Amino acid sequence: MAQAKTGDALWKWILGGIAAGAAVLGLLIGAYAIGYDRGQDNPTAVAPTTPAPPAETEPEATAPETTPTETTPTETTPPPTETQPADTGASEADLVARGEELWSSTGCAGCHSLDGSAGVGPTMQGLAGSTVTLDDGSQVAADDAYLERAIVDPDAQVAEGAQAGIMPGAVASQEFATRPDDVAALVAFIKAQG
Amino acid sequence: MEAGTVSVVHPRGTELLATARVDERRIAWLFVCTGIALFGVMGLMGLAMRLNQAEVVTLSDSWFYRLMTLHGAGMLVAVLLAAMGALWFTLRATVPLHLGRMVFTYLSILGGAVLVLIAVLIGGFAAGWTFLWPLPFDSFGAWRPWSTDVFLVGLLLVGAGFFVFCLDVLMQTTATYGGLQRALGISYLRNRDDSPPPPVALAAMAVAIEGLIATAVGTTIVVALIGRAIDSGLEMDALWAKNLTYMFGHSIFNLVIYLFAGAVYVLLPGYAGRPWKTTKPIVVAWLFTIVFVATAYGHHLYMDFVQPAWASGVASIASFGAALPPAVVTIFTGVVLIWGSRYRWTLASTLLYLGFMGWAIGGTGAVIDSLIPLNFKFHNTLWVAGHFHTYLLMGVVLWTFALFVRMLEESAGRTARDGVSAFSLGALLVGGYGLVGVWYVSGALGVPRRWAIHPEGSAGYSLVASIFAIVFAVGFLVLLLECLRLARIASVQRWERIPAPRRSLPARAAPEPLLSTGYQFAAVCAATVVFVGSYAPPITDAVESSIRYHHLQHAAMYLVGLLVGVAFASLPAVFARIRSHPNLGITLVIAAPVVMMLGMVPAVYESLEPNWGLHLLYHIGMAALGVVTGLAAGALGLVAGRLVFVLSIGMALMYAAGVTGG
Repeated sequence: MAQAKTGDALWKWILGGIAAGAAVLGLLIGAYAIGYDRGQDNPTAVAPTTPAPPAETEPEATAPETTPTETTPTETTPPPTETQPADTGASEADLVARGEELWSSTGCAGCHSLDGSAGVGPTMQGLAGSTVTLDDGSQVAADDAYLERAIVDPDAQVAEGAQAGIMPGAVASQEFATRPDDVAALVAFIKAQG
Repeated sequence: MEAGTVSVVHPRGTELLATARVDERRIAWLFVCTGIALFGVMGLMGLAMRLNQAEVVTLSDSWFYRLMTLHGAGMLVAVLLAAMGALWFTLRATVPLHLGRMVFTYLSILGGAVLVLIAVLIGGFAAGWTFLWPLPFDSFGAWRPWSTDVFLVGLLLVGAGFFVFCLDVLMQTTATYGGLQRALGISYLRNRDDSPPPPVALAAMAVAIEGLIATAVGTTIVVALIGRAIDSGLEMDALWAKNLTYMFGHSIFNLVIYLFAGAVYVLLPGYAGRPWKTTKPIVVAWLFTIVFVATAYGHHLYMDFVQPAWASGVASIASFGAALPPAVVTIFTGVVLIWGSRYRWTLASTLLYLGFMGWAIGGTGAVIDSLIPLNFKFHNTLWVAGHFHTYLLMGVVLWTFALFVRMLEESAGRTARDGVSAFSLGALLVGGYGLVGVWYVSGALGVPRRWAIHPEGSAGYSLVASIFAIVFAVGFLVLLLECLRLARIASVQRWERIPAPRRSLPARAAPEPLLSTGYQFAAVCAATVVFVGSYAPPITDAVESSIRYHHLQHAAMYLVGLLVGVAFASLPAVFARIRSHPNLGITLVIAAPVVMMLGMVPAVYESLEPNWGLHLLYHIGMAALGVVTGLAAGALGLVAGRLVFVLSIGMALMYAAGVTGG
């Protein structure tokens, strides 16, 4: 074991460590530069959930590629469109089954009923396709976009009688914004409730 | 149990017990008396709740939950104070614990208890002592919003007091026995050490290490909740919050038993006339506890469907691994120590012996509850109240009474009277086991816990339990009256007694720096340079995509400072200066991480972000807090300093993982 007994010996180790760290950091920066360069050459290869590019890039050049619909709940995480289930090849029945599985595993039933009974949150029975009154008195159609937004960003539109602030905390760990297929499955399951 | 002026311990017991110094006695009196006084008041609150469930008295729901909150938090403080006082009193014969830090611990915990009282009695706070997110902030008018803030600051003070206690125990014990491996008995296990530390030191080390981990976890969740009080938009992951809350709460209540178990290793031999020697099974048992206690809390989350199954599996194994080895080994070796020893049966020594019974029965109840299929049946019922009241009331509280009586018997030079002792012991046993027994029975029948109103038809159980509680209270009262008599005798004799010779404190080794070899310096410097990369502008832009990534970047910046601080503190010239300021070091290792986490409250930094200069200064500030923490950790010496280093960065990472919005 190299004991650091004298100041001179110690400084050699410190400088050696700094040099080693700088080498590793240099490799990381080099890897980033290569990846960044390739990304510039092929901007469509950027995944939809990739964070905003550095300031020196042109965000407006990539924005149209990553913002498919006007009903997108967040700018960085587009929701699934109605064509997505068909694109993935999943049948409606599979999607509903997946949604039912998620309904149980993520604990939705803790707050929302499927039989019309009251809970902490609104019941899912008859929700899809209905007209929902929001807490500000306005009314919206409970279409796919509304249901997707209610899952990904629950406090964007709070239904009358529900309390803001509860669901975001409850579903935060699920990170639905990064799971569009699962959101689509949940929407399909909710629609299947009539 | 003859009353008289003969020795109050075994004829050979005096040789096994070091004469307590005046400061040690005073600390023990202070902690034990405060603990017993709090126990009495909180016990009356518990009785009021039980009588309400028995429909004998009527409490409003609001007051029931206030009392439940106060009873839980108050009893935690009561048993924690008594157990800390007991361990300090018994460990100081072999380890030179710091008097001033123990006084700080007392004042900090008492200050925290006063804030909890204000929050509950004036502010009406009634979210339970477990303060599970988001309930403290969603009272729907049941309590005033400020009471939540006051309650949380009170908990923070209690945590700070316990943290200082654990840190002092760790620093002094490792310095006394020559490092971590020797203090834990690992060198002895590997046949490299012929003179292992005494069992009390092994228990103290387990408590200190686990106490520091639990308190760091508790501080993280409490500071995050305080952050919510500052920034009403702050959101956190509910599952994360529950895990941290129970990791802290469950561990602290477990450690209370282990604190007192350590004291029993010293107190019991005085009555048996035989030394309680360290053996390899004892060393292994306490190592098991160190490994498993931190994850045993998970049995509180078996029924949380979002808790990963593997975490429940780990918790199930850990619950056994943490609880069984020290209990089995300690109780078995304790009973063997008593067997055939002509044990000196006094009120104090009998209470010590009976405490084993409470630990064993309560521990069995806990083990049953930690089995997943049974947990689903029992955990939300009074069964759980039964098991933890068994090991606290019939274990730790009886041990507290034992130490209290023993100190008075020793001061008075005589034992408690036979008849009074028998009556008191009988009432404590019948009342105590009757009380907890009803909880087991009604829990098995499915009566829920934490409910102000019990299911129809179950009030009879509460009535029976209330009667048993009153019987226990009578036994407690009789014991106190007998103690008062002994105190009077001791007071008269105080002026006549020849003072005992002063005992000097044991020696301990000088502290060592955190880094001592060239390799260690090189590794820390290399890591520092790599993590400086977290300041790169592309990373700063990229982390804006998620508040978790954003806070992860802040944690990396804090780590940069921490590494710089550790390296700087270990330079021979710097270490020579800071090693003489451990108290300043302790203060800063508590304050700097708390400031760091409060600095990560979104409302604090969001206003700075539009201005790149202020933004950069904020990021430099994060590293500066790390430097302060690292330097302060360096002043604590090798073992405590390294553990504080790990815990500090752990707190930053935990915070980053749990706070999800703001």
